[in-house]
Amino acid sequence: MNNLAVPGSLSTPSVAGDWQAGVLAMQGDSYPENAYELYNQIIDWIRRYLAQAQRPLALDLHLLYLNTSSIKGMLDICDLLEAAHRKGQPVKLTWYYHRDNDRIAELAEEFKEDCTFPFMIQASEE
Amino acid sequence: MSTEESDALKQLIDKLLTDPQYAGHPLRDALANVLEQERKQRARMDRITRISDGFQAMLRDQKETLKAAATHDPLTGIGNRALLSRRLTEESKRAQRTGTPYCLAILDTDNFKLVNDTWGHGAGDRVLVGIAQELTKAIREYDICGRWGGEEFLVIMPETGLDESKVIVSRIYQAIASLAIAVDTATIRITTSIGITEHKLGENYESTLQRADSALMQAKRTGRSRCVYHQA
Repeated sequence: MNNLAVPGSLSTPSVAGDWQAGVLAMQGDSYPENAYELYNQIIDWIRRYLAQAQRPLALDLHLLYLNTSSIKGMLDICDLLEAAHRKGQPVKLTWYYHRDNDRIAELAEEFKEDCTFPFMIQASEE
Repeated sequence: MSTEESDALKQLIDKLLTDPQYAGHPLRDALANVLEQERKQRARMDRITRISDGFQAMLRDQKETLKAAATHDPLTGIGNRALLSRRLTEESKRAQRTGTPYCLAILDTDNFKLVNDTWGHGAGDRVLVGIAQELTKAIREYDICGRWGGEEFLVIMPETGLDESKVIVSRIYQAIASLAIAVDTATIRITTSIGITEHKLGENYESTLQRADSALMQAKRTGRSRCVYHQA
């Protein structure tokens, strides 16, 4: 099984990596007790996918609050995608935010800053 | 490392890197790399800090919004029952501590059901909003007003005796009486019945409220649109 599935909780986002579809989705708040453990799992999965699958990768993020270690983890993920993109591997990231909370959109912009791969910030109604 | 120390180190490294006598030295490239890594780390740290501050600010704002929702009436924007109960408890304690009582007024909108039945609930809501606005304007800076429930409002007048309260209560009464709410073909005018009492040192606020409420009942029974003061 190459899929990644981490159930979400109050303080951790749910993470679902679908190897076949080439999609990694994260949803919820992220202030885990051990952010490194969680983000290392995700980073490992993305690394393996990028190295082995040779197919496009899409990240779908529905993240709300991120604590400082989660921000660090997410920037590391952006670095991975950026490196893959520069090597010519198709990657993209979509950060969804509820349209009532455009603060999230502003913060997603901060993550996007140094990225040259497709990074979309999209309002959702749900 | 202090900023001065770090600047001095950076200057030293820059000098070493540009010194022609070290050109081609194997440590030179490594040092240049370390310097570049350090610059990147610093930039990354600044970025993480900036984003984290953004998330903290967002949380703080959300907390304020939740707090306002928990303590304020969404229709009129003034304090709700939870806020009033808390402030009554606090004021009762303060009165006990300072020996100076507060006054409590309970207002009921006369014939409010008639407004709703005649002009609809939208008009009724506008009347309540109008009353809340007049109340806010008429009270003093340190008085507290809020919606107790339905068409009932409370005004807490800290460190105020019954005689002293009369000028404020009559200001409130007049302000609401001169309120004119325009509906399509007419203007709604409303009056209020008000029961006022002074908190007795040592009693709980429920007893004070009960006394104010019985004064209000008396105002209603004796023809509405009036203020009844209940001696403590």
